[in-house]
Amino acid sequence: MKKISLIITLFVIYGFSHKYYVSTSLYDFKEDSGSLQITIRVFQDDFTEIIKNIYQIDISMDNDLNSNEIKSKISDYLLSNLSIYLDNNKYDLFYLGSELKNEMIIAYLELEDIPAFKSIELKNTILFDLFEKQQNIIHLKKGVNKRSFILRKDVPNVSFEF
Amino acid sequence: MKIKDISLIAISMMISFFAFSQENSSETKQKGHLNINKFRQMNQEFSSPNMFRTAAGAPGPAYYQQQADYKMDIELDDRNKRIYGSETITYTNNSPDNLEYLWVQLDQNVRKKDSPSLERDGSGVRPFYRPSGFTNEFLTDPFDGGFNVEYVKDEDGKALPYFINQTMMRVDLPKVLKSGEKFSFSMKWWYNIQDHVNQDGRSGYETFESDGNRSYIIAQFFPRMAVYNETEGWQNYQFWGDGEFALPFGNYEVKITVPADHILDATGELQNRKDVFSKEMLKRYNKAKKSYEKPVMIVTQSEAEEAEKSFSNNKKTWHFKAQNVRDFAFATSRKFIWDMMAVKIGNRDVMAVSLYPKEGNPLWEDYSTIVVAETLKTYSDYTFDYPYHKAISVHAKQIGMEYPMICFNFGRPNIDGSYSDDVKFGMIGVIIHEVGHNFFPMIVNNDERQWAWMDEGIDTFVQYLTEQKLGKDYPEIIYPNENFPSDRGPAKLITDYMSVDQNFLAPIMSNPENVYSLGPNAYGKPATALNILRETIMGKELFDHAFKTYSKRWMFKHPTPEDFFRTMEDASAVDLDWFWRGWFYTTDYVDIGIKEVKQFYVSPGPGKELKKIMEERGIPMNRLRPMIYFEDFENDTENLKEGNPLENSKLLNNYLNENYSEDEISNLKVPKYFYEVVFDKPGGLVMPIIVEYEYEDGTKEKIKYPVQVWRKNDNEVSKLIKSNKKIINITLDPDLETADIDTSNNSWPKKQEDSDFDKFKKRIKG
Repeated sequence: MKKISLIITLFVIYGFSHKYYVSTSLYDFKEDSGSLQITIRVFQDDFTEIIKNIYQIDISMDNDLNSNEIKSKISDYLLSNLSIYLDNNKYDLFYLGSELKNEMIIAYLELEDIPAFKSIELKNTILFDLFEKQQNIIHLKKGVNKRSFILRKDVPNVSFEF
Repeated sequence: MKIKDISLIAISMMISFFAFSQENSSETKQKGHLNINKFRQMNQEFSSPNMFRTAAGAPGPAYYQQQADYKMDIELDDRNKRIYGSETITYTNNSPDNLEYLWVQLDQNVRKKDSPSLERDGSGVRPFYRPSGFTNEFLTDPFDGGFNVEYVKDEDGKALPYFINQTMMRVDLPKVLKSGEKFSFSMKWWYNIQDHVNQDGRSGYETFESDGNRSYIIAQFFPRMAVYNETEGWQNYQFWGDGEFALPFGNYEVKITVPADHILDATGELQNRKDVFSKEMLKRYNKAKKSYEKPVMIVTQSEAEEAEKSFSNNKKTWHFKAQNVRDFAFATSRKFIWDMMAVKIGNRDVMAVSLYPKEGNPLWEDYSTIVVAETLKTYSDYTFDYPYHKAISVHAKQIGMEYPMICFNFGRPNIDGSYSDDVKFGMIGVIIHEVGHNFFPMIVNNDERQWAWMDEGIDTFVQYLTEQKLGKDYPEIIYPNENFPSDRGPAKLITDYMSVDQNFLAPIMSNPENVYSLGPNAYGKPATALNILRETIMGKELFDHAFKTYSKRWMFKHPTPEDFFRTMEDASAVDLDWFWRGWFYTTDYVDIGIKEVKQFYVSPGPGKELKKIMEERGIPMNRLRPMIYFEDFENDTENLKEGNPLENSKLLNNYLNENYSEDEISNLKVPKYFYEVVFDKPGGLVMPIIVEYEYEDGTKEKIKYPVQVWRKNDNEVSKLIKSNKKIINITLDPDLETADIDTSNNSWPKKQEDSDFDKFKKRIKG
């Protein structure tokens, strides 16, 4: 169901519908392998809309989210909306690919060979361009430490000290 | 005080006293609390049973329901996309109350230009728009929808005063309508039909660019009586768009006039088949009535394609009568292909019917009618025999919506006729779902405006059962899958939803307008809850009997949530208050884990733990009477842990020799391994603990501890396991049947389970 159009958007039909604007991102620091694994969950219809708007490509019609063309667009979108600083140094993420599960698109990104660090700063502006009320929920896991934070358009980044 | 010896009971009392005094060393005194036990009864949430609705969950001796009968003349203007109607409603007041006014529902008014529903959500500026979106939002007038009421008159033709409040119209009665009396009145109206493809909606038209024709799926098209009952009085919750409908039962006589080249079907029995069918169609129809295996074409694709080429200016009137239905809907187009087959329900023949434009093929001619027939059979098995004479599935591009005997379903192939499995199984799923709605809420008629889950959730649950049955009956349809790929029902499919941020969750027992995500809230979660009840908590026999009892009790009546909850318990003798409270009244989730596993052996002397307690209490060891002692595996210094209890304890050996014969002793099963397993429960929901123990010889044993183990400690519970085989693995919920949202704590020794990330990475790296 469309959520923002001013045309009447009345009806929930049989399918899954959602009316809140949330993504969830898990930043999982794997201390044994020295890597950061990022798992991002966004609603399929939201993500389809933003990719269509920016890249004029319809990812809803194509089952293969990991074909070269679509993969490069999704990668471009995610990398330009996610940044990460460890001890104030910027690191470049690597986009592995996405899958569709229960009407959510799950995107996987990775950062390998990271040094030990004390502080981390994250910026996550996914879907902020599309929805005024978008909230990106961030879960951070490093060893036994777990932190959560909600990013909004007016608060797009967050820092943690470990 | 002189103590001779101390029994173990006294020691254990001391232990608990010790623990107690430790906890209370702080200055502040503990506060009392209300009954917060998760197994307390639902007396505070449920309203008291009464003469209308009994404590057993059945209609009571004073149960009543109102009746609304309709006579209508409808005309569809295909050129101008308008519908005109006049209707006479005869309303019977079966309540014990006298009514001063009637409330009529004008659901189309949600599309009025000034409808408050347009402004019910917050909005904001987006940084960019597509041209079509910008045009729709800023450059064009909102759609001019809603009822234009021309008159409201009484039986003598005298105008009746009325007042329209949004989607509801109050008709003021000339004199009070007393209990048992009837009142008839007439209305005339028209409205603009909207484009359901571009403007959404549960009904409307679709224009097909290739040939310029439209197909119409028409519903909520006439002013309908609101429900009056003993729980709500007059329904007063407006139609805002999400909460669907609450409607009284009644009898309908409807004449619908459309262009003469249209094919039309509707709720009710067609009265003038000879006038509207060609001779050929009649012949095919008579053949279809005897075809139980496959559908018979009444209008073929080539005939429909021929009809698409012209536009008839002549009219044709289709005449229907329906008994004991809560609503009326129809579908009409010159584009329709029409097929039908018969299906035996009990000893009656019911017609399974499909209407679709050629754009639905080949999917629709292959599956729709077969699926309708399978749905009627399976739902009848779980509830009651389908009482109507037909069920129609109509193809609409993106809608799934239900009405008595007729429903509108999505699932459209690509233009070249190809389609993915998602489209095919989505179409089969939605047909089962919408045809299934005939049972809930068209016949078991809950108030959808207040409780969406009562029809959506219950229907989605039976949909799951039907999908699985269809997979068994038609393996060729689901090939190469072994089971129908249901997307709702199995416990493991709801865990993602149940683990989302609590700020975006509402209990199932919420009004559909106020939940964040109606799909999983009102469809997925209640369907899963019922599936878990059936498969894990109650067992299929008890559940199916209780569920059928509920369906039969409330057939053609108006149940409330409590009527469902009470009946399920009453007919099964299973107290489920804890389940209703947790799953339906809270947003809690299931997470049970294995916190710790300790192994013990029987030792000849007191173990380390006991010695420590004695020392702390200052009691000499010689005060201990001889006992059989347990010692932790960790503390074994004399290599006794491999010995069995008889070898390790002389006391036990002596006792057995004195009290049992040699034969009896040799027949005893002497366990050698003793484990204490501590289960903890990070989740708020209580559930049975289902555990699989795997022994070193490779055998496995599945044990279910009843949910009641949590009644005295909501956080953790221990179990002592005795065995003559060594346990090498313990797995909680091995078949994923409880919707445990975090399975990382479900095994001992702890298994490092691959995360979604690891799984994906492995897959792409091949």
